[in-house]
Amino acid sequence: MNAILGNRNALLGLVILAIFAAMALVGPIMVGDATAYVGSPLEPPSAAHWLGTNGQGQDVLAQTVAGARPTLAVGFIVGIAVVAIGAFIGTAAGYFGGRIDGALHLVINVFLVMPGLPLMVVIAAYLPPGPVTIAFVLILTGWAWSARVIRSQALALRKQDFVAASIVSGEGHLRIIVIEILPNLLPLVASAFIGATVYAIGAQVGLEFLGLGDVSQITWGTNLYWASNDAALLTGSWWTFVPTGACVALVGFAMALVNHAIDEIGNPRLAAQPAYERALERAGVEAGHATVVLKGKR
Amino acid sequence: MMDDEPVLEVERLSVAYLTGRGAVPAVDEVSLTIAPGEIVGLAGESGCGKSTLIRSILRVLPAPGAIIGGDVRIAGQDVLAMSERELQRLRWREVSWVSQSAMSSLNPVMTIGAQIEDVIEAHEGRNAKATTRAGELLDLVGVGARRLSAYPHELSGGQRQRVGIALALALSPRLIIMDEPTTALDVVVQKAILQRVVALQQERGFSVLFITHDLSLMLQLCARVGILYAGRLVEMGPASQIARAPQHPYTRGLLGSRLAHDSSGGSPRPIPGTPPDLLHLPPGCAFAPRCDRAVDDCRRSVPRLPTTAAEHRVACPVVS
Repeated sequence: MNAILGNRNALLGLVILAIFAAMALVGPIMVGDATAYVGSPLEPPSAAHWLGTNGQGQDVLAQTVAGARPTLAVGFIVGIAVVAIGAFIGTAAGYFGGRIDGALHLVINVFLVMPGLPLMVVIAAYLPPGPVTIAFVLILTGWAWSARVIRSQALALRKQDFVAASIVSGEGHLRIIVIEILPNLLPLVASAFIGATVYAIGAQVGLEFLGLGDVSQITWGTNLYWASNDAALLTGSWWTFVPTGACVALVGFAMALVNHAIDEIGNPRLAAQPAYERALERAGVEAGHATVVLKGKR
Repeated sequence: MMDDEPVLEVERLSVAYLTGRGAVPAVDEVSLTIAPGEIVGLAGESGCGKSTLIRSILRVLPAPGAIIGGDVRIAGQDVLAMSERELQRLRWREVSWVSQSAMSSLNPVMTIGAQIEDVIEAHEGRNAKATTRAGELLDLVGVGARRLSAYPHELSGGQRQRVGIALALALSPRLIIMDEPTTALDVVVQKAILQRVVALQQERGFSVLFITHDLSLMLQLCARVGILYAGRLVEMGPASQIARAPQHPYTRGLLGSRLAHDSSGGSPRPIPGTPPDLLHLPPGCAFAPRCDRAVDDCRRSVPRLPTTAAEHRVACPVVS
């Protein structure tokens, strides 16, 4: 924990995420009813409406804040589900090997070769619109990637001596998987979770922008859908889509920062890199494959 | 080139790891000379800078390591001023390296013959004689030319280490740096391989820089020996003299902490304390906090090896 808080990247990422979490939890109370018609359509930002109004005359700030909760909820639920399914199937395939691996690996590969985006669009259009459908579609099309990555790592760990030792000492399969193998996969699982969540938020916003979500609900995706429907681009009403777009980008940015920090903490050499590069820059020396020489340049 | 020109001259070489918590001085003003045909050993415990030193000499130390001072000349050529192309030509032709783990330095999907030929052809171009020479090299190190088409996994650990030595000999370099070449092997195989190295060395006349933490082994094998502590050379001298009359308290500690081969030596005496944190080195002699003979003088300035021509030199104000 100290390592995470001591890392500037991680700290910035976590602060941004905390702000969005607060926005999702208590924001709707602060901004009032986001569905209320409070002004004339497409009013530019003003003192009364900080981010202007949308094509329906609703407050854009209230809509952006109200959209955070359902969007982030679906994003994190999908992220957790994708990684949980991936870890379960991936470790099972990697650990047991043989026929079990053959069968699971086949299923993983089938899901991997299916083109994700068209499949998402078809299933989302077929099922009743709403956040549950979106989450289901994203989990269905997203789990195979993390299962594949975790399987290959589990496969490598399976052959390590400490796993052989725990088999010899009579530990059960479940215990070996959960106690011996999974902790070694944690950095991978953490970064798979972050990747899956960012993907889920982006894909969910994309699907809803295409009108495949429940358009009567307020989410970041439907905000963009309505902005497009109400001809925001034609009329140049940037305030109707920029705030939502910025929110999506910021969440993705913060997650990427945390991901990078996890990498740095797991790999000390990466953490030393910035200091090394600054020293080279000060000396005016370029890094290469050979060890750098900073004689008399410090 | 003159015959008595040193094959390796290291002068006040300093190497540091530039990390976020400051520059970690891993090698501090180490000077070392190796004459043609000489076997020189460097010993010290884990983390004393042995591997950092030889990687810096070859300039293969990865980031964030950087050479921050001193000079390195191999066969009279200034290594620190070389471009990557020049280094490429120098490495293996003038100086080669046998790494700690031959297991991981051999490519598992290539036959050992192909790997030796690769080395030859990388420096001399396509070469019809490469295969014959690879076979001769395997004969030389005692693996046998008939194993040319063997893959690394088909060989034992000792054989793989021999292949590593064959690779190092491929271009008849003047200097071979051996980084704990036999640590992973049992003593019988270790002895056989080192005897082969000595025989080859006498036959071909190359020089060897031998790095190890096994002091007894080194004292048997090397003509001259240096002792490293916290990145500094604390004692340097003929192996026979250091074995018989070690001067520096740390060298004495190292020798005293060995298990005697017969019953005469009594039980080993460990050196109290632990090696220092390189980021927070004590002022003066780095060994002073663990030394039972330390005086105030030891904590004032860093003792260095005297630059005299004496054979046996020691960096300690108390004993010298």
